Amino acid sequence: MTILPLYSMPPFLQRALVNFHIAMAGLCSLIHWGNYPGLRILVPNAFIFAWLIYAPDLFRLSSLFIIGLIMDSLMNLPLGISFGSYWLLWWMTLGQRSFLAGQRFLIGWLSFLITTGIVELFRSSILAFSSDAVGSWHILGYDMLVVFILYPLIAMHVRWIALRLKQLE
Amino acid sequence: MVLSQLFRLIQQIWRKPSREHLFSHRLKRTYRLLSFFPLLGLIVVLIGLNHYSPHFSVPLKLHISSIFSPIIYGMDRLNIMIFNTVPQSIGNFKHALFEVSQLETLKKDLNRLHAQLQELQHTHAQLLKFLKLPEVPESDFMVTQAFGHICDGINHSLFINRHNLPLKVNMPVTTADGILGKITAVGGKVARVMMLIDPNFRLPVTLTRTNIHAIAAGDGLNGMKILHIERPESLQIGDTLITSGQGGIFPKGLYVGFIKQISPEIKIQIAISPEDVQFARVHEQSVTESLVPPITDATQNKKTP
Repeated sequence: MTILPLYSMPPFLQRALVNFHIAMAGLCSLIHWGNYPGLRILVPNAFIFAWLIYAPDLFRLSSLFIIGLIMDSLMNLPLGISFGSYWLLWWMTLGQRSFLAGQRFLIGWLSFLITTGIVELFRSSILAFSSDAVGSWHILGYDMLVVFILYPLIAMHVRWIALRLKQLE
Repeated sequence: MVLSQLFRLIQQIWRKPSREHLFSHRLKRTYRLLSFFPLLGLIVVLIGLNHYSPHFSVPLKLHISSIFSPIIYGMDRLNIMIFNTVPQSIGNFKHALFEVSQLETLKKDLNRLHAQLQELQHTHAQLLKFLKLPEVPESDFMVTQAFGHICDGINHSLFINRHNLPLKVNMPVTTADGILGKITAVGGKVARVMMLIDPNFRLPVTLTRTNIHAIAAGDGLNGMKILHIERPESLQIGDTLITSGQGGIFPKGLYVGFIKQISPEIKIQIAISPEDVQFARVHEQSVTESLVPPITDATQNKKTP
């Protein structure tokens, strides 16, 4: 099997690759792919969680800040809401990383569901406070179900890249 | 630069102690707690900036949106190509391969309808001339590309390409099928449209059957609902709704949709499909009708002694 020469990349390029990955996931989540009936697929949350589990050293909080600003600008949200929710996700994921290290994949999968559920609940609550309208909770549940189903694919993809990036270590 | 250093410091506090065992658990917990405050402060500053200085935050957001809008546009086109164009082309190909006999019939029908249309247009022109009525003026609108239906969980917005058009805030945006929304912000390259399905969108409407006025609002999903209506008991499922022209934004008579459900809340099936919008029409803002009657000279004279 041919191994991509990712490990020979300089560290800043490796970090750029990871950040680009998350930024593209964020931008992709804004589009209603295939007339998706939910509000938005929470793909960036899955990518952030997976990258923090598999390669946390390649991940900078400042990049989350920039990605959050971009997302807020595109979604016309108060600046800082997306970064706040990503930061919460970052904090919760890092907090349980040592616990998840030796566990089965299923545990990580369930952990992702709980973590992203809490983060989205926090984000939706702030949005509901800052808007006259209240979001639809059953659609939020539907979006979470979709990303829960997609998570193994995303995690496999991230793990595949993370393993190739870590050849240097 | 300072921000970057701050983030790096917080990351070190979170990661290094657990790996290198430099700190005691209590100290580690204290540091972690302390690391919250700068970040929390940053978020509070950003949200405060958004609320108290919109003249800074709104152009900033539009500028960032303009930079990233080509990517959103590209992904939107890719979405349409994968999920609409390709299946449609496959369908057309199958049609051409296996239903050739039907194609001939359809072509004949098309020619017949085309001839009928030309005849009707001719008759229409003759009637206008006979009745001495003015020619129907061409609609006054600008056509632009629409892309990137974006939703944050509550609000629904859409980007439209500005490309040197004289767009302004509150201009009504429609499609050939019906109302799409109104412009809420105009940037250098793109403008943001609040869609009619947005829960913060309000639209004064009239029921064509009974001429009753109502206020409709977006339901946040894929349609609208009636918020206020003069006589709700007179409603029937299937009643058509058009804009009333009140409110000073939307011109009178634009098709909105029809009543889909009456209880527990009155829901409207809107005419447009928000996912399929590719081109939008931007109209001049309508200020033709106002709820407040203008003060005439006569009334002014009465008041004066």
